[in-house]
Amino acid sequence: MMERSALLKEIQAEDFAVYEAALYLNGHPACADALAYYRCHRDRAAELKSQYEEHYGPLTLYGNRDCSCWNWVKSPWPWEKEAN
Amino acid sequence: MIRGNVIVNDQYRNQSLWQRRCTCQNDSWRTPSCPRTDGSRSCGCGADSDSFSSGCSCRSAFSRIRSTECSSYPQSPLPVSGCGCGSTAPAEAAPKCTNRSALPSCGCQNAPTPVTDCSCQKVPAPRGCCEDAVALTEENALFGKSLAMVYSPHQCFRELYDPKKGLCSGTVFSELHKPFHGGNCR
Repeated sequence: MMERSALLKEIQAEDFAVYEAALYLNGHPACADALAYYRCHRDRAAELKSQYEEHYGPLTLYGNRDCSCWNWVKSPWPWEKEAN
Repeated sequence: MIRGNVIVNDQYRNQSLWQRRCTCQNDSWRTPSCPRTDGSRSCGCGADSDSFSSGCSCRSAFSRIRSTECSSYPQSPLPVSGCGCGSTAPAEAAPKCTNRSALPSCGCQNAPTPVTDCSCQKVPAPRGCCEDAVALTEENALFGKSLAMVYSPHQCFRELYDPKKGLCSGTVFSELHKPFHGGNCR
């Protein structure tokens, strides 16, 4: 299991690749290479996000997995030292 | 007759078309005729004419006929004169220039041909309009393309960075990676 900040950087990189592929596909909707690239990095980003939320808490409002507790407010806020 | 510091006959020279009016004290600026009662056909501008078709334009604000004898009609702007060196200053600004005729130009402010008889010695080296333009030869990619059209090359899905390097570069497409170097023109 990767360290929290390293895992977060991996997620950011994969998300960026997905956005780049989406922008390219906006102008080239039938490009097979771009579609394959998009699927690959979309799945990789989802996998990494799942790993992060399982070990470090939710990344978004949709990532709260504990049915008994709202962990969103328990994890450090972005401006807090523990979040960086 | 002088009123204040302005010579009456010169007030037309300084007035715009809308402000031009008859000097017979009629305040209407659209005076088709001069209602002077002294029998004079002149409105006082100095031109003696009783016809709208010629003579003094003071009688009608919309008259397009200029009287060469009317001293009160505004002078036409000084023609562009010079030796063809591209200067649009009036002739008085270049007293040494003996070539007073306005030469045709291609609009790029450089005379298409050199003027050798100009004494102002300010004639630039002759240069064509299109010297700085991209040569539209067969070797050029723009050869045969229509003017006034914008062309954008088609991007291909190739030469990608890995996601981490792409995030640092601002793009995963290496062909779009155009870092700004700044500094003076090189």
